[in-house]
Amino acid sequence: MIRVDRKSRWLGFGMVALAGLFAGALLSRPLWSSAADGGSVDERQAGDPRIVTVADLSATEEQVYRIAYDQAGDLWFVGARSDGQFSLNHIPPDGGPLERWLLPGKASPGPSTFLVEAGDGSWWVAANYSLWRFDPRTAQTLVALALDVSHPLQTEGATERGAPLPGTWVNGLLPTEDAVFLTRNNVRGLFQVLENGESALAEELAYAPAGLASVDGRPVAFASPAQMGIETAASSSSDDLALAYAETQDCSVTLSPAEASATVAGAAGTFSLGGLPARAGDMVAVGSGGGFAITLQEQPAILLGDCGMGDVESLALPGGTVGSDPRLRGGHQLQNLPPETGTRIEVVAIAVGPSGQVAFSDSTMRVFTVD
Amino acid sequence: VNVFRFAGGLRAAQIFVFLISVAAGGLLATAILPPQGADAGSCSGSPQKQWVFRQSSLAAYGIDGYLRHPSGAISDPSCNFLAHFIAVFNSSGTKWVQVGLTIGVLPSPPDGPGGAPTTYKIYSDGINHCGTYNLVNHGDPTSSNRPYYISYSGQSGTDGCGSWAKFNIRKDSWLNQPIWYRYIDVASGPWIAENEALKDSTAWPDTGQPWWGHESATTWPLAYGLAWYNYSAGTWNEWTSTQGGTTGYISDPSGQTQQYRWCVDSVNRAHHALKGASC
Repeated sequence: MIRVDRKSRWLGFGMVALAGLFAGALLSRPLWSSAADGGSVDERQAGDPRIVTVADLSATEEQVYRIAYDQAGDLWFVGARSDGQFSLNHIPPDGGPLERWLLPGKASPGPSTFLVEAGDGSWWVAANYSLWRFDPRTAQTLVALALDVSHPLQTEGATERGAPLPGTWVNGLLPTEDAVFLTRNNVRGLFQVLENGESALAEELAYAPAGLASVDGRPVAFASPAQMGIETAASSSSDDLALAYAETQDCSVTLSPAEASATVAGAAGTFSLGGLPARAGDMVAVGSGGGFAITLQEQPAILLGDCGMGDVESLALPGGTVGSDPRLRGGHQLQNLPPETGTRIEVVAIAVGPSGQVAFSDSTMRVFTVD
Repeated sequence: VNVFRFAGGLRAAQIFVFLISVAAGGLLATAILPPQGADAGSCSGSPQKQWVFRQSSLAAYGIDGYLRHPSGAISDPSCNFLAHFIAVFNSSGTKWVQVGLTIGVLPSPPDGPGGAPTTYKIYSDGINHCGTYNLVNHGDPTSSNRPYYISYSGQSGTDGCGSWAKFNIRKDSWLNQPIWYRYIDVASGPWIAENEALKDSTAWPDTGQPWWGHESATTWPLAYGLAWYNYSAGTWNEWTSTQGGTTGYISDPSGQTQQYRWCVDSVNRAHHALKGASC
């Protein structure tokens, strides 16, 4: 782990500023105000009735790769079309229509998409080689940066086709009071971008980090388990097999597929989640208030809990079995498999709010909250 | 007292049925890996299927190549369905990771997500190491001739389902972040490029000659052809006849006349499926 002093040296960042400040020229405006399905209870047979569909982007074919709650508990998320068009979306707490803005430019979409709230109410969005800061109150894009693929601190073979995972896209984003820290795949550096778009190397690292987390209020660039063993992350998928969360001294959530168990260490002590297996691809999200959610997609279910309470509940996901969704009645004959094999809708992103609220998106391009 | 509730999980009987069905699925699955369905159509009856393919005889850690789809809709899109794709699978064909393009609407039943009547859509699907089938519609292709990549990530392990290996699916550039991750039980296996067509009582759709790789590949570098991934060497290698493999077709029900042929041009640098008697 590398903890960074914000007074670290400022060096070149390897970014090309497409536009440091957008005074509204590339602003986006609310486009859409009807399809939120706000407040309706999901009526599908499978899945817990407390799961409510709050947005459906299937009409515009946008995957929701990242969800976040703001400080007030409002739900925000990023949608991305296959052609690289990104959108910032807000679900008003009063049940009003979905608010939505398109971000300027395009970026190749994928799960490595980030959404973090800035201290002034604007939002940072990062995906692939792009970074935006957008203010929804004024509908202005304040920062739009495009990263160079090549970087002086990139690891050997980072941009060569034969590498296992070539590329130097953004793989971590963490807000501070007036800036964001940023890490990149295959780049041995921790970077900082100020609100005005100025960017710099904050710390040269000995390794290329797998992501960023906040531990005790400080940024931690964490490596993959292959590099450093089990690491900590505030919110991450378990692509690297094992992940853990460590926010305070008295609460931690650990997923270790190798041990096929998850444990919660709460104020009341340590206990096991019944030996439920965590599997590759499961995700963990933990809110600032100590609430957490763990996907157990093969069940399919989400485990909900609170660090302070030590009470864990399993919530069945919608669309977890064949027949649960009108669009998923078949296909098994085509794949030479019996229907009982099961077609599963995958959780794409999950978030926990400051009061323990939980929201998630799935591969059918919908967003849900847990009522 | 710490409380654990598991209200939404599978009951033991369900789990048993699930396991049995997975086992049955494994027996039924073939080495051919047809993609999944499209939106429900207005046609009726059981669809007829035909697949033409090129399948490796060697194992690899991934496959990549340009997938070029014809412009315009297929004939009779309300009852026909086409897909062309690349995939890596385990030796028994029971687990796979696949990315490709689909167009058309299937007769109903069966139906499922992932297709559109008149435009090609990117999809990825597979059966993971847990035996669960997943399909995702990734939306419109960036253009009608783009590269797609399936490659082993170097990450593997063991969980409650057994061994797993993580694969990245990318599009447009190998330097882009993956658009999706998928897991199967092996890091390497045979790979395949395939075209699939389905119809009900209507005529077989014209495939419009979808290509894998560029048809003028002799003037193009390796990156434009079909290639297989050697993870240990860190190289992508052009898929030529020296790698062995099988070219063929399968129809369902069996006994149907072959409607599509797998054609190889330019010293195997490009492949295409053709509806007709010969290449």
